[in-house]
Amino acid sequence: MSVSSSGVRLHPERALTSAARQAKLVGSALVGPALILVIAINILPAFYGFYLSLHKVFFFANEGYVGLANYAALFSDPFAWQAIGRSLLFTFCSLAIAVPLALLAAMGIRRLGRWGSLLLTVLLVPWAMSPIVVALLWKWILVPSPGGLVGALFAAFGRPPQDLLTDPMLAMPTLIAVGVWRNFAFATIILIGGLGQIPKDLYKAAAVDGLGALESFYKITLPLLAPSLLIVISMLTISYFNEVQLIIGLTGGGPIRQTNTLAYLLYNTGFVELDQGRGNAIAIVMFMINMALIAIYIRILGKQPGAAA
Amino acid sequence: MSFVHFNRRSVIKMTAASIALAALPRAARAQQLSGTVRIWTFLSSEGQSPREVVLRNIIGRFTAAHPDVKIVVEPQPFQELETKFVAASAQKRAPDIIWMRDTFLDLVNQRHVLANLDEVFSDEFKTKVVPDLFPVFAEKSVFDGQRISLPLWPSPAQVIFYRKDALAEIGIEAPPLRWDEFIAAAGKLTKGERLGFGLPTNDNSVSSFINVLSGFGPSIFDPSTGQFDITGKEAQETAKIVRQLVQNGSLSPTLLNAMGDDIQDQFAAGRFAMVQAFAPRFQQYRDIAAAYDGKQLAVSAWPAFGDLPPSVLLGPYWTVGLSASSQNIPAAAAFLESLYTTEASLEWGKVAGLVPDRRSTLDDPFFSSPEAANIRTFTELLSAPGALTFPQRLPDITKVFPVMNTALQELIGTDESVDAVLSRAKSTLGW
Amino acid sequence: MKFAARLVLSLACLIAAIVALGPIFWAISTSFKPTNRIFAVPPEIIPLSPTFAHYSRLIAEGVQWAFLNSANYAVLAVLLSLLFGTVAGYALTRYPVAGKPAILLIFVGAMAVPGFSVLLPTQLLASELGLYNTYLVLPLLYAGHILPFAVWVTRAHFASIPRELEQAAEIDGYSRAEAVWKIVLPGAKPALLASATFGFLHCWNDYVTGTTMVDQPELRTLPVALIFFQGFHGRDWGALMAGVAIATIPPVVVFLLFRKYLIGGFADGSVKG
Repeated sequence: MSVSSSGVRLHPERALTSAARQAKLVGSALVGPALILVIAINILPAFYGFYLSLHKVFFFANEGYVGLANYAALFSDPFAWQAIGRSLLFTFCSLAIAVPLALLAAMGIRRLGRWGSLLLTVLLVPWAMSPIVVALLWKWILVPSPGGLVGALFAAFGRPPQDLLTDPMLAMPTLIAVGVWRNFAFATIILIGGLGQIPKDLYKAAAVDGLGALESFYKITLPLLAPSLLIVISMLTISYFNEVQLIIGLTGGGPIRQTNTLAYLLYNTGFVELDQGRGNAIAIVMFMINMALIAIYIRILGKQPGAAA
Repeated sequence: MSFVHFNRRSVIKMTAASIALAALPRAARAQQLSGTVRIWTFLSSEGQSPREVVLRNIIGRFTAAHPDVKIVVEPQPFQELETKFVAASAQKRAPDIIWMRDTFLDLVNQRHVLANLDEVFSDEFKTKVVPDLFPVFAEKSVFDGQRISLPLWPSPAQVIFYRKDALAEIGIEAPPLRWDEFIAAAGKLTKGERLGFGLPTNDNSVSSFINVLSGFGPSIFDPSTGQFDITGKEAQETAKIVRQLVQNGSLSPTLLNAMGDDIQDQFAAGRFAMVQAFAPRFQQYRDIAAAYDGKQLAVSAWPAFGDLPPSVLLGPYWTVGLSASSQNIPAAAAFLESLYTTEASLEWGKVAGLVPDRRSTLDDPFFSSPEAANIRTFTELLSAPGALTFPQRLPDITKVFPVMNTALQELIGTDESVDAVLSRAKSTLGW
Repeated sequence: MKFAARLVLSLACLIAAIVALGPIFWAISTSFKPTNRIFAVPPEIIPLSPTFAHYSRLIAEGVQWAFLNSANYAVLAVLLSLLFGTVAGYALTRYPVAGKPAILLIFVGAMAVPGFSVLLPTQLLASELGLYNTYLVLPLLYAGHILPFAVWVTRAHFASIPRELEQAAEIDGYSRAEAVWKIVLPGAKPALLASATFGFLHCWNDYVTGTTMVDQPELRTLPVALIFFQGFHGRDWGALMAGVAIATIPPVVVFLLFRKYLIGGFADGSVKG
């Protein structure tokens, strides 16, 4: 603030406060519209959802306040606990495949130069597609018939078509594969950025010190990549934990609840069974888990060296 | 939420409207029709399928007779019609006319969003047309003396489709109609990659378990509660049938959560000899047949237990109702009536291959012609001694099918005891 | 040795590219096959007797209007989010704002709210406000979804530009608004384009919001219109795959056009928090 040059000398303090106040007013006015829209569209419905979760709402009729009954019913339901387990399984298996794959792709692509950027673009095409369209597409690809794409691949190896979406042993792995197919490349972009920020000198110094490729990967790349990994893991965690369109389109929570994740349970309870009070209770629980997961990541990875950047 | 109040208001409004309407001379009504009539159905007014073509023709004839009325078709996904309608009613934006499945009638009716059709139909329609509909369907729409909808496209719903060529291999013409014989036949039909029998076990409004159970006749449903005994003797017997079909290989334990659509695709690709299928899809099944000649497709009732008649569970099927909050009840009622003219019934049959709504239309020469052979088969199934509908008030309608489907998946895909599986389903439903 | 490594790398790249694009190619191939050849064994990788029937069916059923709706909603939402987001992002870096930490927390928190979990209350609220089934409801909601991201990106960018740049322009006689318009915004182009691309993809690819906020056919989005081909008579794979092809073109084209900014934005860290 250029108060001293404003010519007001007699009451500099008051001038300061009034100018600061004015600036504050302008600033708030500029932030206002965005803030109001975000609160109205993202925050307010969440509170309304919480309010509804304290009521018995079935098939669009509010039958009254029930306190925490929806939550109590949820936590005493073994299938709800099973759904939390399936969600965590889906999320962490997907992460365990997507993140190393993305890291591998990122390191490979950085070596390839121009061709690498072409490959990155190709890999990102599935990520640009709508999840519901991806679900339709894979439902067709996985049709267990020798006329389907995957069926024909099996036939080429002399095997009959496999029930990848309806076999209790195979449904979850298939779902994970489709999920990883859709968005692991997104993680690759961020990791490429992270790799680019690691000073090359460090690797040279490591080579001089006699460190092998594997050692310098563990001692330099991984620690310095921690901030990027934090972003990748939290973004993918949120994305996988809340994934529902793929499940609706591919397995409908089955076979025998194998793919009945918490997100699908929310869809099924709120939109199929139309138990909307309980559905909102699940939504609140999901929101809490989302926040908890993010908080945990920030704690763990925030302590890594290099995370201060 | 203000929904409960809204209900009361809309009921009062509707009553007032119907009193005012009754005061009008009937003859004057027809000429005064004007305004817009909004329709929610799963058919599109631009669609190319046979039913959509017939609907378009009916609308064309109606607007020619009533040029001041505008008919607006707003298609919705067929699984969401009832839900969307009740939500829209609560939010005061309901359409005038709504397509609903019979199984949802009770739940929708509990929200007081449907008009009593007896108060809006013309006397002629009430005396000539309503009694001409199939009574088994028409009477199911009458709740506490109020007619809240009319059945459309009478259909045997979930039946068994089979390939005559496959059955001929084991020397039979049609599936046996007793479960013990059916299981043996399904086992013999299982050969190489082909399975004897295919069941959809993941649709929200279809339960193969209940279809098998219906082989015990209408007594499976408790008349006062509408429930069936999930752990009772009949259900245990049903579960054993399923287990036997798994044991002889005719039901696949890796095909657990297939939907009707999946079964349809795989039947076309030759994976099954017999499947549970939705009767109105007969023509579609023929058209997409890839691994066999579509002409070999035929339809059968469900086997029964012991000496009981073969079972035909009539539902879910479509019904059409009128919104209690409609601002244009006279025109909407007149349009609803126009779906059931003799001409319309003939056209549903001729163009779309459906059983006509008006029983008197069956006398038309078309229905004795060779091309109407399938319609005759369906009509026979409809009036078979083992035909039954779901009870008028089947409780927990949004949960019962998914829960029984999961139970069926467990019966097919696990070794758990029948008791454990059925008890779990019972406790999930809280019955 | 080096040659072998190179070969392995190239082979890996080729497989990766086939796995990424193969399914999409298969969808396009299916969309040109006549209905009775779709399940043919062995499958025809390239349709032997190609047909446009499925595409003309989509046109006959008016899917192009849903396509247009999707495009309009996405563009409107992106413009709204850029306008409000840039202004807010600028204010948050250059002005003292009452309760700034709380506001930042709200923007971050909003990004963590899974949109799908608030659908039900959102529908009820939209209906009570008279927004349900209007042309504006989806652009507004989408704008709300992508705004936090736009604020975040632009804020990070403005924070990296020294204030002195604008001050120099102001000394030259420009007003502050002019200085921002002429000096600051052009420099922010990559950040704006990255945010716009990301926003467009979000809007175009949404299904659940589109299907719960409007039920009038004239207002429908493309993914919702496509679901109708998974209809009452079973799945029409030809039409569905034609729809998949059509629905995939815009996001992929937008992505290809602006990938430099999107990838650059994420990669150089200006897009992250």
